[in-house]
Amino acid sequence: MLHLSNIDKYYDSKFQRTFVLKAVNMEVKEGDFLSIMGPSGSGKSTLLNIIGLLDQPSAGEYSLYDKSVLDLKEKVKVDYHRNFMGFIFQAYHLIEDMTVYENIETPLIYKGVKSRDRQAMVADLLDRFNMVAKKDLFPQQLSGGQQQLVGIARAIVGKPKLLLADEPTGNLQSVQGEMIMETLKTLNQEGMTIIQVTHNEKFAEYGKRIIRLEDGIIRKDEKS
Amino acid sequence: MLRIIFLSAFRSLLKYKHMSIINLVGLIAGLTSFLFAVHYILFEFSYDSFFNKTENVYRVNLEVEKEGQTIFHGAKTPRALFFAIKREIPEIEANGLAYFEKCLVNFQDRTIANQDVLWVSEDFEKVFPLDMIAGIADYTRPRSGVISETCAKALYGNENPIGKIMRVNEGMPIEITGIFKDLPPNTHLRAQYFIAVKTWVEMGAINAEGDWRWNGWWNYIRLKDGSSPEVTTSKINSLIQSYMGFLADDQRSARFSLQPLKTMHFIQGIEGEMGAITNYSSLINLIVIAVITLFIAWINYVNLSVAHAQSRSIQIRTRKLIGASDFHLWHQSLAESSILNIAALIASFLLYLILLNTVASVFNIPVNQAQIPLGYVILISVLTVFGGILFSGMYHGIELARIKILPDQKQANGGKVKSGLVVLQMALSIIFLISTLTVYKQISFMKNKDLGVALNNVVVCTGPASLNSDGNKRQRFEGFRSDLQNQAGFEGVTFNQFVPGQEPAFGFREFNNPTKGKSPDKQIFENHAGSGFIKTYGLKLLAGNDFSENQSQNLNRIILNESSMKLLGFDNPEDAVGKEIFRKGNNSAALKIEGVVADFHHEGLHKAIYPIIWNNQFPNEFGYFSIRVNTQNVQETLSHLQTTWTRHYPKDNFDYVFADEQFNRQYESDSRFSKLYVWLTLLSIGIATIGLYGLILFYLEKRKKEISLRKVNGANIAQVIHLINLTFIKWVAVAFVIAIPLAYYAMYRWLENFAYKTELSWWIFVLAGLLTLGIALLTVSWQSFKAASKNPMEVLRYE
Ligand SMILES: Nc1ncnc2c1ncn2[C@@H]1O[C@H](COP(=O)(O)OP(=O)(O)OP(=O)(O)O)[C@@H](O)[C@H]1O
Ligand SMILES: [Mg+2]
Repeated sequence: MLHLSNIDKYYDSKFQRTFVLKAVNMEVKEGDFLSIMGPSGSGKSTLLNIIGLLDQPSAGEYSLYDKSVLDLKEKVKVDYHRNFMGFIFQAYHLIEDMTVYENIETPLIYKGVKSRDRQAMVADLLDRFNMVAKKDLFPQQLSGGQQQLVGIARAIVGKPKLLLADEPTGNLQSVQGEMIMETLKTLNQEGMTIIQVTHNEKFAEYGKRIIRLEDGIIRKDEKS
Repeated sequence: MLRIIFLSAFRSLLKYKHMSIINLVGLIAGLTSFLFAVHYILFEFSYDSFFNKTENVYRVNLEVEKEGQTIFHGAKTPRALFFAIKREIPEIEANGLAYFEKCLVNFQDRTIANQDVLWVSEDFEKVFPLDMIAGIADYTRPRSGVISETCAKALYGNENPIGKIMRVNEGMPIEITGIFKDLPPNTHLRAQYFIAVKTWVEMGAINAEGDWRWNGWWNYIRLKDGSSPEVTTSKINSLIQSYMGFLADDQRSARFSLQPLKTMHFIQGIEGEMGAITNYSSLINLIVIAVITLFIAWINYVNLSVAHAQSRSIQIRTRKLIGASDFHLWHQSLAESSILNIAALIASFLLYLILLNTVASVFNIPVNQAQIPLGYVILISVLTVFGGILFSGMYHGIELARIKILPDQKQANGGKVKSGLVVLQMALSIIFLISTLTVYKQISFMKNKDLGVALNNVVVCTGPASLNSDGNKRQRFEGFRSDLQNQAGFEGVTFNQFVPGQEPAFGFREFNNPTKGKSPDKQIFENHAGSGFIKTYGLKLLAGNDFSENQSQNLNRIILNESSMKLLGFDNPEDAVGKEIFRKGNNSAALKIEGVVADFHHEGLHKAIYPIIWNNQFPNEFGYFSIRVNTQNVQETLSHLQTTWTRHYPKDNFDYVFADEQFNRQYESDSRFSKLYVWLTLLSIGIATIGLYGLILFYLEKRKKEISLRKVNGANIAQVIHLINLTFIKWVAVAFVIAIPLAYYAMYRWLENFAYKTELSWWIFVLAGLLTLGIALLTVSWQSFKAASKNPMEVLRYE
């Protein structure tokens, strides 16, 4: 579904050009669960952002379903974000002024889903994540793990094909982290393609495949 | 979707209370004053609009020209015109004639002076239908008239006035045929009584058909629906050929024009208006200032919410990431600004309703007595607020759209606050300050300028109207005068037809000076004055003498002011004294010049000094007696004056004013506007200041890391404060540069309303700039001091 070839990302400063990604080639198939690992500053987030259409590569080709997705118009990008992919971040990035319920519902509103359908979809997810009792709380009133669950719920409520997760467990204690990883695994089993960035070897093992980045270069790409 | 948008907007407003309060206070202050301004402006624009089909009503004005120059432009026209229009102009539905007089009225033992009476022709009630409470208005009957509700109470108490006779002035009996509801303050018709002018015809004071030469009457017409005012105007003008051929003798031409009733309250420069004229440009200034005050409150909202959005940009990014388009974000900011604005509107509306009476009395505007349709106030304010929501919501939305999902390096590090709107606010504050200071300077200039006439300690009494047709009134005055002069405390007693501070209602005519071969095409105001008027009013005699104490020596003697002396072609005062001049059209009665006085201001400084001639005739009717009193124990002197008055004029109330107070009344409207300006200026500066205060909080929050680093690197508190303040000083400087030309232009235009004006001093500009700088620095410095004195390690540890 997703194909990167010869992706470079660099930043020019006054005296030099710093490469963050160098000649990255990558193919992701539908239903895949990919873990990206690597030391800090090796370009993991940058790669994920490029995949998520949040950042532009400096050179190279990127296509989704054999269609190039470089230089897309803002509108088309918003479309991809609404309908095709979901994001989860290390810092949970929930909207403070909204309740759990509303946080999950909002992407559907942006997408233009009808009110009745929205109710059903949000209720489903709350049920699934055992958060029904918490639906009227505000993010600040939840634990980190719970917040991240809401983040996942929000990311997947629109039924995206691709889920991008940048260190989803980074701020969590290991028990909560494991619960998140279990959730991702189930989602993958249900058919969702997932790409996650993680520092944790054990959590990386949840993936079907692990890519190791070093200085912007893919050192290893192996089945786990 | 609306629900969730509004809910989240509402929560965010509650959460950031400080910011919401700053915004609300500013918006409420701005909106409340805007509501009052709207109310006042509606009041001014509603003049005479309550008359039935007011758009069909016009006044006939007259313009006389000679050699292409307008020599007269007045609201008053000949009485014969009334009959001619009635007879010969089919386009009119009705026409009416009016003459204004301040009268003394009396019923049994009750006497009231200074009543506003309009003497009106038949059909006047069809042009201006009154709201009758009882009886009817029928001006075809001589010796009858109608009375206002309030005056009916004052004069008749609990008795029913209808059918009762009231006495006017010297005792003219007038039967009351009806009572009308008091005219509201928003009409140019100034009257508590409408009395049939046919009374005078019956008394033989005027003839039945009127004449074409004396422009002393207001002629009103009401057109038939659909009649064209242009056609009617040209038909009325064709009357000139038939009846006013005498104009051609002096190579003059005349032109009548129809002035719509609605414009009457605003058009300046027409002589002989009945009602007060509001300075149109002062009113427009007021609208502009009120809107700008409100605008400043909106700028606060925009500035603060943009700064706020940047400081919580992660929230905005998140929204974008989960699929919000710019349009959605725009909804969000619209929702926030709607909630704030609507809440502020509701609060302001309540304040407006509660404070209306207070504001009316503080600014001395009778707005509360006029019927202003509340619906209009609501409509205008709702529309304006809607505009404000769009402006602030849109501006904010555009700023939000600029925030990228991934922060680029610049956005993340920059501690920049949008300076454009802040500078704009400051520039507006400076302009307001300059304007207010200039307006004040002009008003104190007017009040303090040497008028050339000493008005302090001069008491002006209204002449005894009960003696209007008494042949002995001059002797009685001489008796009154010598009685006063035999007492201590009275330093001068004189009579006049009109006194300084009054616009002469009549007395303008032309003169010839055969000695110099001059017959100027300009009317000179011919006033009456008694001997001693030069002393009483402290005038400067340039040559010759005051009128003699011996009345018989003053026959056909006149005194000129410098302007009329020059107009008549004399080279200097000495040259004029002893020479003879003539009233135009009367070459037999020579008027010998007895003296020349220096020019002085007979009216306020809006008007240029004009030529005046005094003769020694006693006022035919009314007139004023002026008495200079000793400054010691004014109260006692006044009571002596009153007893003396009552002894000589038992039928007439002692009705007096101080000459200087009367003179300053001419500046009432200017004073009122300046008061309004000052309040709005203070308010808008206040609003801008709390906005700046909110902004500095964001600004320092963003730069706290930089400040700490500087301190770690050895900067002391003073240096850091200086660094922060420097930004604001720069803003004030830019604002100052923008403000100066705009303020200069605005004030230059405003001062053009005055014949005598103060200059636009440079210090006003500097003072306004310094004040703004001072206020800005005061607002900023405390916060910058707090930020600068924070322990840098604490801040850095948190990062
Ligand atoms: N706008 C930018 N300009 C210059 N350099 C940048 C910019 N954005 C990122 N970088 C650099 O690119 C490199 C890769 O950053 P990236 O965030 O992808 O690393 P990462 O592998 O996700 O690290 P971590 O594990 O710490 O999250 C870093 O060295 C970073 O400093
Ligand atoms: Mg990263």
